[in-house]
Amino acid sequence: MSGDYIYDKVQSLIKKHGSRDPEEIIKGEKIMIFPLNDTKGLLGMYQVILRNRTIFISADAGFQRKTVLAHELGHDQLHRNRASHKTWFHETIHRTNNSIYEREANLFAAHLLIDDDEICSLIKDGYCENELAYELQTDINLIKVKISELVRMKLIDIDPYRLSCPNSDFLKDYKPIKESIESI
Amino acid sequence: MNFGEKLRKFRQDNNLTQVEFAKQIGVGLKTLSLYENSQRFPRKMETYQKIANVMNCDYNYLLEDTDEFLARVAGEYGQSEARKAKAYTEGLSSLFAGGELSDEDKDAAFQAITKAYWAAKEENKKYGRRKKK
Repeated sequence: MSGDYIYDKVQSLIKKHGSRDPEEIIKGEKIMIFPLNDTKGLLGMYQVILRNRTIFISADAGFQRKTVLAHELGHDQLHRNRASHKTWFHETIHRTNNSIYEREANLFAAHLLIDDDEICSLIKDGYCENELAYELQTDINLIKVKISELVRMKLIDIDPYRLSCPNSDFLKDYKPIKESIESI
Repeated sequence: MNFGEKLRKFRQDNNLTQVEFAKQIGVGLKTLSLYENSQRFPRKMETYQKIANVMNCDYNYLLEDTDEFLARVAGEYGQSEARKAKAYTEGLSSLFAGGELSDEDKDAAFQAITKAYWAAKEENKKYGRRKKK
């Protein structure tokens, strides 16, 4: 699956729903969301159950919720046929034959959550990756994915050797957060 | 410990051979062997009941979460539906066999999937063809 195909898919989806918010898009696409209670390592899963597209997301995902939802939405748009009962997508186990799918879903999430013009103008102002992540309130790894993709599409001009692209399974290292109210 | 391992442990603790134990619970030798190797499972709840009587325990001890779910599906929609539902649980367990998920996560995922399964069933009723009377 080429990067351009994924980019077009995201653009048409945004046009269709008039929003970049994954929650709204999921609602508009009539995908079911189910919470996973009390998970330690599992963040999200995607599966088609009896012809119903279903996203499972950890109830403790916290600020990662948007990232995980966008990632699962990527599985929905790009790999729905493969998510029959033979394959499961979820964000803890890295399997070699799944890693290409995870990479594509990450790319989808990066395109969905980050606006082209916004990030381009910020990069021209000289922001570094950490600052970009803070300014756009997005995950740093998604920023890296997005920048390397923008360079490939020749929308911005950066020396390719200066880029750092994360592994396809970076979401694996993320853990659900237990919110401790006492500490505040 | 799964169903087959429980059977084997009980049999070895009591110094029974497979032939003797199979006779007691009223199944063939081959069937018992397949049970112990987790290649086959009793289809009827009565078989579980019979084994539980021999082993002197409650039959809920023999059942796993998945078994209970499948038995309920089989009761409401029949064996062919149960076979389809089994595919979901099998995909789940084979994936978890990698061992990277903790037991609590497995439980949480399984609970969510059963919930999603019933919700999907309910949802699909909107689109099905009604039976003629």
